[in-house]
Amino acid sequence: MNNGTTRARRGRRRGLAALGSAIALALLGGGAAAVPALAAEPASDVAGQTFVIGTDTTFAPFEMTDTSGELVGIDMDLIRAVADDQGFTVDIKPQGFDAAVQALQVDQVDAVIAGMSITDERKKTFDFSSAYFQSGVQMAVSEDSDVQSLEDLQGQKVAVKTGTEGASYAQSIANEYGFELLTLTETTDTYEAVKSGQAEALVDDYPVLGYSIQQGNELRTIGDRQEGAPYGIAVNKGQNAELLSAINTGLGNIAENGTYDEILERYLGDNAPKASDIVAPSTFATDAPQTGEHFVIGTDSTYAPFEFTGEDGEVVGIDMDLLRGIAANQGFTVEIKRLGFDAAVQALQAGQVDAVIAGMTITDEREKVFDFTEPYFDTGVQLGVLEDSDIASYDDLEGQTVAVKTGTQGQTFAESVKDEYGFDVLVSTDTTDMVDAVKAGQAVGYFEDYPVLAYGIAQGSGFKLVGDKEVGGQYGAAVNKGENAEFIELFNAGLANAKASGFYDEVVNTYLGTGEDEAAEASPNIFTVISTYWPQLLDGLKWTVLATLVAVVAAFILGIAFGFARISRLAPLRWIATAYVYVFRGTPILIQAFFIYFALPAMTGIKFDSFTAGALTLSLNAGAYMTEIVRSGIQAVDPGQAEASRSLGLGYWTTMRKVVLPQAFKIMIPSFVNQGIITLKDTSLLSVISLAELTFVSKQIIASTYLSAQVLTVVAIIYFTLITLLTLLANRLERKFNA
Amino acid sequence: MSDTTSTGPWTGRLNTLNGQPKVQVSELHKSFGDNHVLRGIDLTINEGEVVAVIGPSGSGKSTLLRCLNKLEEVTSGTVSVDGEDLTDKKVDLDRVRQRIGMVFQHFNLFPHMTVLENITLAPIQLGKLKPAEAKARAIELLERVGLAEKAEAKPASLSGGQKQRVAIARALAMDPEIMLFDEATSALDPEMVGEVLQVIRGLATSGMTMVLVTHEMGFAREVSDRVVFMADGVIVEQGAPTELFGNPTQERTRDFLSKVL
Ligand SMILES: Nc1ncnc2c1ncn2[C@@H]1O[C@H](COP(=O)(O)OP(=O)(O)OP(=O)(O)O)[C@@H](O)[C@H]1O
Ligand SMILES: [Mg+2]
Repeated sequence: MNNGTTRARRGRRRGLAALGSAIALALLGGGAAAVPALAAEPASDVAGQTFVIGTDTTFAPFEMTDTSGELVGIDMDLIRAVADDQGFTVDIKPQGFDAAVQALQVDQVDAVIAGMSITDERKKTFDFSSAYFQSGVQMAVSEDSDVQSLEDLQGQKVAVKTGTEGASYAQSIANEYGFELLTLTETTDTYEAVKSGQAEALVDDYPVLGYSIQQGNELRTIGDRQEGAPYGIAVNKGQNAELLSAINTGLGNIAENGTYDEILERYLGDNAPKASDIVAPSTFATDAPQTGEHFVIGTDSTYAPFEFTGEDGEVVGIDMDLLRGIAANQGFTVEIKRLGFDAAVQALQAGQVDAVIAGMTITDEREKVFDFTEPYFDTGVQLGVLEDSDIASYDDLEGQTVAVKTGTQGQTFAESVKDEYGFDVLVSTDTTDMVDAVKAGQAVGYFEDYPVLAYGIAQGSGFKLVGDKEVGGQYGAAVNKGENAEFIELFNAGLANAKASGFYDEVVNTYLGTGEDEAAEASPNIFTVISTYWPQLLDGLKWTVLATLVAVVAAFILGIAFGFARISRLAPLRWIATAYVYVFRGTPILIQAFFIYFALPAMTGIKFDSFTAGALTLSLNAGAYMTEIVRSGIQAVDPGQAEASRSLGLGYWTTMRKVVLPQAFKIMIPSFVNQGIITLKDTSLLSVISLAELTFVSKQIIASTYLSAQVLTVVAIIYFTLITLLTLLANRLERKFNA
Repeated sequence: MSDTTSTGPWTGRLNTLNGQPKVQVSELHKSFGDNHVLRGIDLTINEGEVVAVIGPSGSGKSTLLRCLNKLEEVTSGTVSVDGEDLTDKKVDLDRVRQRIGMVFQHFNLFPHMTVLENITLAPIQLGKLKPAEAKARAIELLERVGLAEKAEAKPASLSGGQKQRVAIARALAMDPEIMLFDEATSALDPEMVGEVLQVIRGLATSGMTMVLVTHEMGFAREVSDRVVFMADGVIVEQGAPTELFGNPTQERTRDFLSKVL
């Protein structure tokens, strides 16, 4: 899964636990309507009522407990101010993010405000208020760092928390600025990484950064804020519309009377955004003062739903509506020329048009010649089948025929998976043939660009979507390289407003209707998970095995050395060995890993990469247990054995080597095997210091796919198999030894 | 060796003189924590002499025996072998022990080795014999104790009596000048005692210097040149077997003998 997809599919992630509910949301699905913008309904609808509001327990600066034990934070202050303004009362229940979301689904709470990103996924289950906060990620470095801009990060490391928007952002610019990513599983670890010098910079949500700087964390933000998903207040879909509209009105009012700004400044100080910037765009101003800028835009003749002729003869479509909206929002004018795709591109190169917007996929090839705006649409190929078809997933295509249009992405995709799912491909030369083939029963379905399919469905084509949208390209508007930078800037700014305000969703929904939402998430089984992610899993497995091997061998050596020291006649040796055992048995391995990875470099300046640190941690930890195994194994041998040997004149070491140890090892073997298995399982803990072992990889896959049940099952089976093999091998060895 | 001890110049001569002191214990004290087990032992064992040590349980017989090859750290006093003081830190105990064989009550054979390996381990490891020589010597010893056919057996497959005979062969493999036996037969079923005593008897008649801690009074009387009676960590009485068994001078000796005979 690439990061773009990850980002597109979800907002702020709240650890593994969030996945369960996210999957639940995805399954509940259904419904369409975009979030209404600021509605101007009277407050009286809900005045006097009490609403139960679920929230997170701690997500500073949005919700947290102050010294007097009261829940405060941007969310809390905002919802109270809105309630005041609208004359209703709130009963706030801090339940934790996942619990709050679940409580909302079962109607235990009326609404949730919890720094919750408005995502397409969630919009299937919830209605959101207008965005009340525009989050976004930003980079930060130590206050005393030499790094002043992103350019200074060349050759440095940037700490990110896995699966977050920050991680996607950092990934997306890592090559450009020449830094490396240090992927960690907890936010706190990223801060630790910067403090300890493991990383030069970190990426986090800017409000979190702003707040922590406000709280005296010695950091400094660098680079620009990357706008992320907006936060909204959620209610169950189709329910509580009055509450939602009261909230929207209230938000507008407190933005106007200054309360909103007061709240933001209270928590974010200098980093506080302007309330007007957050609330105002949600109305998607289309009356911006004219800048006098005028652009000639080339487009396709017909490419529904992006550009085609509307009922009144005017060119409409997603591209057109978006472009016009953005022009109005940013105060420029456009003249649209329907040239056909190829002609439009040539016209652009010839300088006959200023820009092209035509469902144009951003490719490396094209980027050599053109500058693109931010992507405004994620496209992709999907399977369409007749509404009453039994086909529910690719697996049902076994033995069937699927239609494609020649030379399309749909054909490429179909060919690539036809063997896997056992279907035949029927190649048509044009779209109508393809659709007709399906309607006539010559094929059970067809692969087509998903917006086209979805648009058709919204138009009543009688089809439905099956399976996932297969990753395709992103559309952007293009200008000639190095020219018309103003257009790019204006378009991007307008696009951001359009997205933040819900205008973008309105446009897309106008054409794609319920199509996108109903893109049924057919749950892939574990075999598809295995086949898709096998290379990644294998890579993780490699690190798991490697770390285990290194640790087991090292622990064995450590165990023997310290085991002998434990029973040495020299007191200092005994003390050292005992201290070693007590320290490493007496502290959790997680703390040891953190210590070696973060604290040690901070204290001594010695830095390890995550594999070295991880293997070292495991070795030292397992070594402590091995020490005790060796010691007790030696001591379990009848002392008469050593006496008999010594009485013959054999020395201490000869006695150990020839008489005591062979017997001791026999006693130790089961404990060795046991420790080996524990060590293997302990490798999974090293994901916290970003060692890309099996568990880490599985978390990554889950983060981008939500397939927690499937992925975890596969991973559990891999571990189980590995450990079973290890046990069988050990049993064999043991038998050999005992023979 | 001779340069490590003040009595060095005497060593060679003492060795060659039959009937001269081979082991000399003087003012030996041994405590285990508060438990004062040996309370001043003076004992001389001459070359070629067979000394039997008898006494009630807990009187310190085993402890005394184990002090003779320093398996036990002594608290005070000296133990000299061929004039070499074993309590001297500079003495190479491993060298001394090569000359002192020991046989344990519970055999202490090495269970992970064959009978042959048990016997050849020390001579080979200590470079005393080449492997082939050590093997030949082991077979010879096994023949002497009547177990030649058990060379390749593991100790676990042997009877108690056989185990103890192997243990004796193992001790003899280093050609010791002194043999220490700590109740070599008391862990054996009665019908196996005879075969082991037979081997020890053979050794005694061959002129080996031996110290036997034993409960077999008849055997002690038969094979020993001298019997030492211990009680409460001291030597109460010692003398020729006929005297000590026939005419004990001490009340405690009489008392003990009346119970065991
Ligand atoms: N390793 C040891 N640690 C502590 N005490 C010991 C140890 N070995 C022997 N003792 C004690 O020393 C005393 C003498 O024991 P020893 O084994 O020498 O007696 P013994 O005369 O051989 O008795 P037995 O006829 O029962 O074998 C006993 O009180 C015993 O508990
Ligand atoms: Mg004893």
